[in-house]
Amino acid sequence: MSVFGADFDEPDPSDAYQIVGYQEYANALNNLVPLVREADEASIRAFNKIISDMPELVIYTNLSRRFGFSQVQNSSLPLRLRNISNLYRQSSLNETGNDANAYKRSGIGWLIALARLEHGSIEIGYQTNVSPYNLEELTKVETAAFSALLLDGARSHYWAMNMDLATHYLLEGNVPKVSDRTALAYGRRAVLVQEMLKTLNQLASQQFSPAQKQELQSWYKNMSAVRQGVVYNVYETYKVAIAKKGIDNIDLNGCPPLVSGIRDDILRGRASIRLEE
Amino acid sequence: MRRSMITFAALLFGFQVTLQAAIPRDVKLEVDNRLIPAYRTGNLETVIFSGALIANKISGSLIEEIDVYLDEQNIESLGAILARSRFTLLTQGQQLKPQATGKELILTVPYFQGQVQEMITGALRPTIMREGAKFPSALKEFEESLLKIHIYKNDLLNLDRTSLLAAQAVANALRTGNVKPVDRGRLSFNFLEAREQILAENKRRVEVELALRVARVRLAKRIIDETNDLQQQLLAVFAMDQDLKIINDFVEQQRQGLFQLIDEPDIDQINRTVKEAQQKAPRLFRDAERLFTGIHWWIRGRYGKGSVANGLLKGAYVKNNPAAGFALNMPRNRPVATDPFKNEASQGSPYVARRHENTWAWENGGISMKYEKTVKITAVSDYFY
Repeated sequence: MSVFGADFDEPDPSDAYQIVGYQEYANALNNLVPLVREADEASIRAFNKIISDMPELVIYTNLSRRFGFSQVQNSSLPLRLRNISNLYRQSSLNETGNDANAYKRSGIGWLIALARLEHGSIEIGYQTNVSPYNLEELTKVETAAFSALLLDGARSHYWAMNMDLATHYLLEGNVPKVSDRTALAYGRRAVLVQEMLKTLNQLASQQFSPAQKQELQSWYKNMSAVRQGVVYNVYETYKVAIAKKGIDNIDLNGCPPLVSGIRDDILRGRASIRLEE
Repeated sequence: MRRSMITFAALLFGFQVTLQAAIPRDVKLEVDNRLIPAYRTGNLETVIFSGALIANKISGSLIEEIDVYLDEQNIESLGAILARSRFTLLTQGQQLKPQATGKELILTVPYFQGQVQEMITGALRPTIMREGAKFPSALKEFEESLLKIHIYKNDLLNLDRTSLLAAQAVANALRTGNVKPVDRGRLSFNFLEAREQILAENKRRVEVELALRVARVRLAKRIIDETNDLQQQLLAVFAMDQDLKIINDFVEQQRQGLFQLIDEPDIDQINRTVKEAQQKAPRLFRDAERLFTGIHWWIRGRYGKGSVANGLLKGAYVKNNPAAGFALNMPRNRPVATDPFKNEASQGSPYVARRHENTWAWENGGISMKYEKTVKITAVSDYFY
């Protein structure tokens, strides 16, 4: 009996170093977090004054409102996209208003929060850190800003994915339309959104109404479905590849096929497809 | 991909029969579909590929037509963007394809020449370096002047490299006979002579910078001693710390034989001044260092561009040596964050509002299949899907 095995490659953790922002934001956090931990209110005020004088440190937020702009609501869009656009407008999680100045932020808390979000998001995609956003080191001065950036980030990814045909192909199991490599990237994105939602729930669940909580849960489930689609896509892709070698049966071990427990398949190399001839 | 681009280009230009005063349709397609998008997204390899293709295919008044067309799109001339793209990638140590031909050099050398001449005439020289300039009296003014001097220092360094690269490229083209006799005059600028003037200007720059830093240390000491404004104290401490390091570095270089014609600053006095301030307010120094070092790294994370994937990634070499990844392309001038929903500029600042919205797409994993350890098919990518 010969045995074929198909294993997810373990991602190389050193890949993260190639991503601009990974080392830079880590170094920023290593300096700014201890600084604010030991600072009194007068010091924080002085830091904020210095930062407010530096236009390069301004952070614009609520970037996800781009999905509500008129061109997204254009009637010439395909029906599916128009439906998603309608869902966006009905969402209970939007911050309304297009006044840019209302979303122009500055201050030490915003600086740290953005660095934590960007660095942690690379950790999620390319490292095996169980605490990618390092919440143990979260400081009081950044908590509100971090929650706002997390929610905005989750909204951006969620609506971008829903308006992207590739996501729907994955959900429908339309394997020929999505390459395995694209599927794996979308799997990473789904994992990122879920990690953002979990962190948001941990930090700020009390700020959400029951309707908002329900919507956040539905987003989480939607991302789980995307991940299932990713595994299905990868499974089917490689089943075909193995079948071409004269093999007509394949077993999926290591994770319940197409159901759950797939997060680490992509990130940590746990998935295993074994074939017995 | 590159092969398919060449095939596409060959097909594209294959239909061109004669050059006309108006831009031929196929050339315009190349400009619209590849050159301009690549330029706007910062894809320099494609700018060079596409720009070189155009430069080698057309000449004379058509070049001017294209420059007018690019100008209408708020883009510099073809020679300027080709020259700058090549220079940027060369300074990153990247191999450039295709090699610059004589025809391309006729477009790019005037751009390099113009830049060097701009320096020689003093047009780039910061106000503080001009005759009779008044020295600053406040920290903010010092910071602005020193920032301009820092930018000028980078300009001089780049112009020095530009002159060297241009001199080599021109010499090579003339030696290999790739330039028509009628065009030789356009490549006659003496870049090596220009380098001498650049070095002299840099010496003057060092003198002014040193004088500014010594003066700022004195001002910073007064602020630390005389004010209770924490914001001002932090700025003063940071300035003092920065100046001390730079002045000490300079003195060290001087002791190794460089900058012999510049007067040595009173380094002992400066060291004493700073040490006294450090002993008096150690917490202030520690806080300032953390704050400004943190801000420094934050700005690099926010605005820095790597050498691949339109700036989102660094080269693979950083995997073995993470410290090598500290080098990034930073904006020439102090950046300003712009509202990402305003389309006033051709490119937003920072160039990506959130990195996490893009980096997920870099697929570095994959699947490997094995058969008795002899068959292995690996699906691994090192680029965006």
